[in-house]
Amino acid sequence: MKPYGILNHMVLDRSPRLDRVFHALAHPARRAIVCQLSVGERSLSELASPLEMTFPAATKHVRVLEAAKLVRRRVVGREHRCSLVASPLKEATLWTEQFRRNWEARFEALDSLLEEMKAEEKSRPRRR
Amino acid sequence: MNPTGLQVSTPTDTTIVLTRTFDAPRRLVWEAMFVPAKMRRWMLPPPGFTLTTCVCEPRVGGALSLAWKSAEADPAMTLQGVFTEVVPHERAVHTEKMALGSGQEIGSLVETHEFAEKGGVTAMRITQAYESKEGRDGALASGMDQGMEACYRQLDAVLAKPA
Repeated sequence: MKPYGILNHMVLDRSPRLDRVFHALAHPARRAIVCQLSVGERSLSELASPLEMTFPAATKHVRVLEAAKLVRRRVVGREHRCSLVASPLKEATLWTEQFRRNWEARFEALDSLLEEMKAEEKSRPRRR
Repeated sequence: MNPTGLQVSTPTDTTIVLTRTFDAPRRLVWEAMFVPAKMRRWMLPPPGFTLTTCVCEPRVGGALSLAWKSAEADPAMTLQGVFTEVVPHERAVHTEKMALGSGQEIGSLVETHEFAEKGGVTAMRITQAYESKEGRDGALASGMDQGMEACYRQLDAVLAKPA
């Protein structure tokens, strides 16, 4: 067992593609768009209205998301329909980030418990 | 990145590996992980849930049994398992079946815990092996739901801001 030897290749990935993903998600409006699309396909105007965004502004944000390959756009008649492409999100480990945070919160509680246990042992040395 | 912080990786389609170091000898980490009175202290339940049952017998054939209640149901969720391999303070393997209060199974996996101590610091590795990729992705997504909740709250904040 080599617990120190495990490298999380995803965390260490510094590819320009990931940079684009993180850049794309660095803006609250674009995260909001990703949220909306996580429910299903939306037209550009459907994306713009709840954000009280102008159509050109929404288009601009969608372009950034498209460049990061987070969003795919198809033209249906006069409408531009957008959908979420989840795979770059997985690559960026955002997919696992909430899972990680939930467990990290538990392990931080475990850290404090261990501090208590260590202090207890010090004050009451174990007899062997 | 904090070197002792939790790292999560997905080395295969059906596994999740969690690695974390603790500033304590592995004997204490083991105790914290497998003694019910200690487990209750750190196994923070999902929001709205309370841990009601906590049985853990880290010996081959020993049981692992946890139950949570919510405002709607008691139990709202259960976890049942059996220890299949135990090397005290070093390694433990147990099965794990999660179910809703209704009895509907929501996931099944084998969890391996490994502890290595170096200079009073314990490196722990938990390997969760799911039955299928769908099961594994479901477990990862259970966190994602809450992530999305946070995401939606952020959307609320964006909407609340004057244009």
